[in-house]
Amino acid sequence: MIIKSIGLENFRQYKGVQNVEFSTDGNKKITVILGQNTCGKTTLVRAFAWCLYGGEAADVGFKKGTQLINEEEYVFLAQKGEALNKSRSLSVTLVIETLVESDKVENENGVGPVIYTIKRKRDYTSTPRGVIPANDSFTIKKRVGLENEVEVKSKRDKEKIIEALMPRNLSQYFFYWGEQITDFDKKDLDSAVKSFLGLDVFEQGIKHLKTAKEDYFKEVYRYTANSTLQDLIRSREEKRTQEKALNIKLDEKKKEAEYYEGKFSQASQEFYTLKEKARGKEKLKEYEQNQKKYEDKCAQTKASFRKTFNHPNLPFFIMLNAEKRANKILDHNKDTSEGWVNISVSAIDEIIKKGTCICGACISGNQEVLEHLQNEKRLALPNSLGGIRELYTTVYENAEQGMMNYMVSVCKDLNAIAEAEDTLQVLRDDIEELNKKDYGEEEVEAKKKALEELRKLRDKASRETGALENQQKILKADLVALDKKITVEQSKESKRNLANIRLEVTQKVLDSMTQKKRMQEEEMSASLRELTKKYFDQIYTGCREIEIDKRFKLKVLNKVGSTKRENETSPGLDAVKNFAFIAALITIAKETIHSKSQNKGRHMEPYPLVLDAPFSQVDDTHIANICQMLVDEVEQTAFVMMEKDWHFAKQKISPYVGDFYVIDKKSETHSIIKKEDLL
Amino acid sequence: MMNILNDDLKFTGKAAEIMRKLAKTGGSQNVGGLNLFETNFTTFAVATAIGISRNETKEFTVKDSDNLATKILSGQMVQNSKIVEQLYITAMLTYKGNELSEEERITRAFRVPYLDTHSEEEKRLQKECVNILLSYTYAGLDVLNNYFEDINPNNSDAEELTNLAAVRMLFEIMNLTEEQIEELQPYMENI
Repeated sequence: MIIKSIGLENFRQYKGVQNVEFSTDGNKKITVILGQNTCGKTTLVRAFAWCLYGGEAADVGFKKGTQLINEEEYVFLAQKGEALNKSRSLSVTLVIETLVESDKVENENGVGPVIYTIKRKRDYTSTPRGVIPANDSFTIKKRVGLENEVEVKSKRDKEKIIEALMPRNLSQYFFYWGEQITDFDKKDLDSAVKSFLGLDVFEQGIKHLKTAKEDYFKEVYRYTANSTLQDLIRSREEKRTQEKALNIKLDEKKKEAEYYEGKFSQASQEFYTLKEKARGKEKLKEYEQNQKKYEDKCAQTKASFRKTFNHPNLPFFIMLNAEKRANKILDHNKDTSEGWVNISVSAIDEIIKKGTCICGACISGNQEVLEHLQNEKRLALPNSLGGIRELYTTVYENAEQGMMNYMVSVCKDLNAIAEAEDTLQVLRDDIEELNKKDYGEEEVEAKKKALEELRKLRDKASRETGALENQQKILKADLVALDKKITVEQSKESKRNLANIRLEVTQKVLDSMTQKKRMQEEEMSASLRELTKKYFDQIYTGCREIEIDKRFKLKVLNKVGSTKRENETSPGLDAVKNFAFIAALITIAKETIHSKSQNKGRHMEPYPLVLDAPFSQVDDTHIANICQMLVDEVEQTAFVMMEKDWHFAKQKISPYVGDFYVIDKKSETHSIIKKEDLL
Repeated sequence: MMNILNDDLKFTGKAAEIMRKLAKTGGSQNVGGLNLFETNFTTFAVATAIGISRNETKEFTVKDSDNLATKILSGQMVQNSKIVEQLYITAMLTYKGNELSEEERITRAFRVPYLDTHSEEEKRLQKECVNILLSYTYAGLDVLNNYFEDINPNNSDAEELTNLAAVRMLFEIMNLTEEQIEELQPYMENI
């Protein structure tokens, strides 16, 4: 990729909008930006990473929570008052042209490169709680050839584009700020170089294949049969044979059960017919019991009749007509008007004679009482008849009232006797008739025994049938289970075979890939070492040599005679060796592009190199050498440096500088970037 | 309490035979009898009532020499004195002898039984009255006998025949009106 421009708006020191256009001229491919200390050189370099990846991570260069908006704008927002609820934005916009062949599109509008306009923007808003940043907005617009720009909507597509343009883990090798050049050794060069050179693809592939191989191993193990399929099939055959034998036995037993069931049913019918006949005997017993009952009832009704007949008033019922005659006589008699009932003169005389009343009171010598008693004699029998007459009449009155009830009761009782006797007679006749019958009880008993025998035989056959049916069910269940097991085992076998094939293929691919990776790694490592040595020799003016170990760690060796020994390095020497290494990397990348164009496999986007104060630790001779090497090997370079460094470099690289800028520091919070002519 | 009919009352001969045939003995079943009446006293009362109702009397004699005799104990007589008193009064008042005035009938009915029998005349009068009553009893016993004499107590149908005869007797001696007989008809269907 080639950076066409970067635009900064209110980003850190850069107040307002500042633009830098990078030279894309093939002959003048270097852009120089000069600036004093703290004017914003490092910020400018970090802005590239921030625009592409956002956030405030280490690889971007800003700590978390770093205030990115220009301080003056922030102060404006923080004062609240008029600024309350107002917002200010910061943004970084990168315009990038990609040179990868596949991104070049030929269409009706002609042939042209693909140009991406990438913008990251952050708003800060003044609120009563302070100045609060909003989430970043991130837009990518794409233009192909002469077509109009189209905004990329999908987040995933945006991520893909960024990853294709400049993978994040490689960005730190192309955007250097501060002392990074001298700190190069501290980085994980092994993984970085492999990734940079495309070797990580092999590693990832190998890793993936190893995982797959492990999975296939597990699969083979999982589908290893517990018992062999043949054993299961043999077992199933045995069960089937057993089932056939059992079915024959069961059919025979069922026939036997049916036979006994039929016999039992027939005998049962006969038994119940006989029993029904024998039930006449039971009926006889019932009748006999009823006879006893009705005999008792007859006796009761007869006793009741006699009791009713012997009514205490019976003589008076009989004499009712005579009483009428008697009353005619009494009606003519005056003596019957009053008197004591049941008290006779002789009784009173007896009391007087005893001198004591029946109540116990002593009347002897009590003249008044004696006189009273003597006087009362006139009302006693036989002097007065009133009392006895009244009693006589009352008895007959009661008799007359009760006579009809008596007659009714007598008649009812006699009726009841007659009815009971009639019923009894009928019963007796029935019993006599029933007694004459033959109930065949012996036959019933014999039949009952025969029936019991048949019942036992039938139940036995039924039980045995049930037991056989249970066995049949168990066998069927066993067969179903065996079928399932066989199906599972067959499936396992199939899967196991498949897994084995996959395992074999995976192993072959893995072996092939490992070998290829090793070869490629060796080839690439050899190229990288060779080129790094070559560039180091070009840049470095001393007698030291450079060595690269397997993990791409750079060592500088001091040569004394035939002895080579690792030497302690200085920042200047570190910068020199690292430039050599970077140049080697970029050279291999270029070769990769060429190889790809020739369909030789590897490919990689050419990368720009943006360096902040690259030569601060390097002497003028080495600056010249480094510049010459970068001009030769790098497609696009941007140097952000101090004037003193430029002084040493300009003589060597001026012919290759396309654009020249100066950062003008107006104040600690306000810098501007001005384009100037190269003098 | 009457001063008469308080002693044992003895029956002999035919009268005794009838009574023994018709009544239980001492409240228990009389084997060889019809057991229609609960006691001899009931037989006596019913027989007397029949005699009075029909106003029929019968001459009688009680002989100690008779082999067949039965009696009603004095206790029974006293226990049932109210019934005896009513029988006696009715008998005296309605006695068929026309030679007695109403006053004499009343005296015999109400005064004679309560007299302290100090004189022979009074004793004689009391005995005459008792005999009049018993003459009704004897006549009544004959009537009863007419209803039951053909029934052999040893036959199986004796009880049934006795019951039927008893009811027939009631219908015949009760002097029921036509209305009363009609009223009883529904209860006689099975008789």
